[in-house]
Amino acid sequence: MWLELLISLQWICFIFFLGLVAGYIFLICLTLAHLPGYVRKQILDSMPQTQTDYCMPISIVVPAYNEEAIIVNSVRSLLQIDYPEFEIVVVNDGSKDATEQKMVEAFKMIPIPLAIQQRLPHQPITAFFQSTVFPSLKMVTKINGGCKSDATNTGIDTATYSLVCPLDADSVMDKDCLKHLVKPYLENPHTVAVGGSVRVANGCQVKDGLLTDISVPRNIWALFQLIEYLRAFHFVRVGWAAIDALPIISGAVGLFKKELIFEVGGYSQKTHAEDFEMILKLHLYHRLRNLPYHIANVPSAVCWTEVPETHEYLKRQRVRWQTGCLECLWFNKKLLFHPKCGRIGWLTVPYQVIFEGISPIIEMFGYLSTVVFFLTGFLSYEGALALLILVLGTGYLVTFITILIEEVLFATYKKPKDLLILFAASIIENFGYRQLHAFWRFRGLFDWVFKIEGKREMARIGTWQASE
Amino acid sequence: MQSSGFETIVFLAWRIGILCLVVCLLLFFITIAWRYYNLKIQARTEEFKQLWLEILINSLDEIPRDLPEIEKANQNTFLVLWNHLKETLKAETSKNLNVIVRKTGMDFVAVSKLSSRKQDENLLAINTLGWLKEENCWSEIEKFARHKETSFSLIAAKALIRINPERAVPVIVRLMVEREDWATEAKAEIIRNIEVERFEETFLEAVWQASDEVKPGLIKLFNLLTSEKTAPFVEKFLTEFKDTEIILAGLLVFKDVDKLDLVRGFLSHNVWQVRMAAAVCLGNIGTKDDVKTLTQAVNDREWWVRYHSARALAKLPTMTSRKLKNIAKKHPNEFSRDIIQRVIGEREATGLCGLNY
Repeated sequence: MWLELLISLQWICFIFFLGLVAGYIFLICLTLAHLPGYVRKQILDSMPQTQTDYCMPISIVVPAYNEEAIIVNSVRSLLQIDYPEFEIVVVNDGSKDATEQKMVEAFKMIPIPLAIQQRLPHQPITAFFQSTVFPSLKMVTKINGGCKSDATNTGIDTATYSLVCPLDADSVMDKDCLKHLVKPYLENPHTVAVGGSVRVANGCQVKDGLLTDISVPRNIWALFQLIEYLRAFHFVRVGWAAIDALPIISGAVGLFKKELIFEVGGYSQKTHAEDFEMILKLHLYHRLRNLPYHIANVPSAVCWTEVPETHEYLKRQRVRWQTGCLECLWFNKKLLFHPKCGRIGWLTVPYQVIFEGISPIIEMFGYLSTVVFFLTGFLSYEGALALLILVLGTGYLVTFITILIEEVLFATYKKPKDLLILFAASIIENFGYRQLHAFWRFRGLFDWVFKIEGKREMARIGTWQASE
Repeated sequence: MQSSGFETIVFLAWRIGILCLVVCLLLFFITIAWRYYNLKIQARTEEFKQLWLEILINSLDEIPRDLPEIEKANQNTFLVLWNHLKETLKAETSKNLNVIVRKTGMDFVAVSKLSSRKQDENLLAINTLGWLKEENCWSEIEKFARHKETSFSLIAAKALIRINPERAVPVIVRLMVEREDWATEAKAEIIRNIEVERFEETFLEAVWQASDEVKPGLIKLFNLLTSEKTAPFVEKFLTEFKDTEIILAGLLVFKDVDKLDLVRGFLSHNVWQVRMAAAVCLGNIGTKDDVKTLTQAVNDREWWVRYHSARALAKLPTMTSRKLKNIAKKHPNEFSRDIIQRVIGEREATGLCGLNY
């Protein structure tokens, strides 16, 4: 009887695994079907464009907590963005270091009287600064709210323009990022949010706020994350966006209609994945009211961000992401199979629940049972090898397709050596890293079920900004 | 020991796994080959571009007698380069570029590419034929102007204007009214490039007759037209329509300083966005007579109306920081005082940047 039960569980794992691969192949097919249109747009974009005064002005919101090491360089980088009209609102989230002082000195900021309309929940503002060198640069200092959402909500409350672009303080945007991000708003009046691509900045060099050298990271943890980011942004998001069912826009680069953020109550402070939650809330808001809307993904809008380079920080991040993912799915469970929720409720969210939410349980069981069966003789050497080849083959297949898409469409990493490193990393990541990652996600799930609050502090390495 | 359940899993795992690995190996070689091929193509394209850029730039002064032949593989590269130069240079300085295209036979190539199955080639052809003013291709390009894809229709519309602006006016105006997918920015660019006298009348008439849903987006473009011609229309939109969006658009383009009372009236409108737009409008064209009205508007129950009224106050002619501080000091409402203080701060900081507030 036990044996039958175990075999049944193995079948569940096997079917789950095939389902996951089928899901990936489905998304890859969607991406490939979407690519010709994308290539055509790229050709069109390469034509010289006449600038008019009819651009949509944008407020960039930069939450900063203890960012004295990088904040000035980050803002300098943002000031060089090629876009006709934008403002930068830095939100100093009660930093204990010299973030405020550095900003005031670098950009000759002066305090101006505070008068804002609070429409979103956040901690009180204590000071409001305006740069006397760059009229479009402002800084808001507030009492620490303990999370990024609190600071982002403050920035959105003080933003002047109707489109807001919340960023991470350590992000470096490509010069033309905003121009790409705003396009869906110009092409479709129902656009409510637009996401771009996040790339790994570790290994690159930044000078005077601009990326001067693009290379793959040499740190192994960062390298594995680069592969993950390529997978996530080159086909998972492009695929979902192709059928208008994008479930997430990264917190590192997105452009939103401010009024709609107000409508859905701003970024949630109850979750660790506020960016994911915001998109689910926007879907739910529009779907339940039968309002037309469009959430777009623009792969050519690129933002570079630093990823953790140590095992400890990466573990914290991934545990937090998993907990956040489950929190968001739980808060927006109404989306699941709701008659009004269309593809997002019947396809994307169920996919997220199965393959992102509860998958760590099945994955961990799959790994452990295979090892136990092999050691106890239930599984022959040949059988173990077959399962290993299946796992490796499907894993490589998805990553290799991603690398090919990257090479054909973007060719970001020009050095031949970098391309080979990418292939090598995608082979090595299957031996240990993926299993570790599954374990961290399992831990995140465990923390969510038992309401355990993990460590959240992260450290910035900032070596890629060292040349400045 | 192995049961039949496991055997099936193992059987499937072997086959699927091996198949995936074979495909991966293939993908690896395709990627490497693509990189190698791409580098070769890039080098060849770069060489071709260098050669032709020099020829095209020299041709601006004098057309060379002998021109190198353009191979089929380089035709698109040539057209892209040529279009870039045409877009960058002024029309009168780039006349010789048209001669080069005809001399190399690329005009025929462009005509043939109009019916190509590749959409990027269609786009290049439309753009090129527009610059060449090829009126023979009018009907094909007009068809593209009605294409369901925004990029096609916009490029084709611009080409029609280049070919024959007079003939293009009715087509373009109709498209501007009908095409909701054309962004205001794109429509603005078209208006700027259409230098035909009767365009303004045709456009204003079309906006007047357009449905209420599309009117606001079109009214916003009035800023690009002659204000004497738009003024009567704007006034009619503000007086005869109740639709909030139309009123908002009208206030955005209102410039008639003799009819300021009309704008002042909107400061008591029941929709706050309209009150805000009226305050912004008064800030742009208001007189010192508006100090009292705007000081009252700073009392508004809606924050954005208060803020923009305070900004409008600061922008009025002869308004100094001292006068503003006085207004703030005397203002009975605490929130209004705060908002004026903020605007004073912003104005002073902007002044330090050397800019007008």
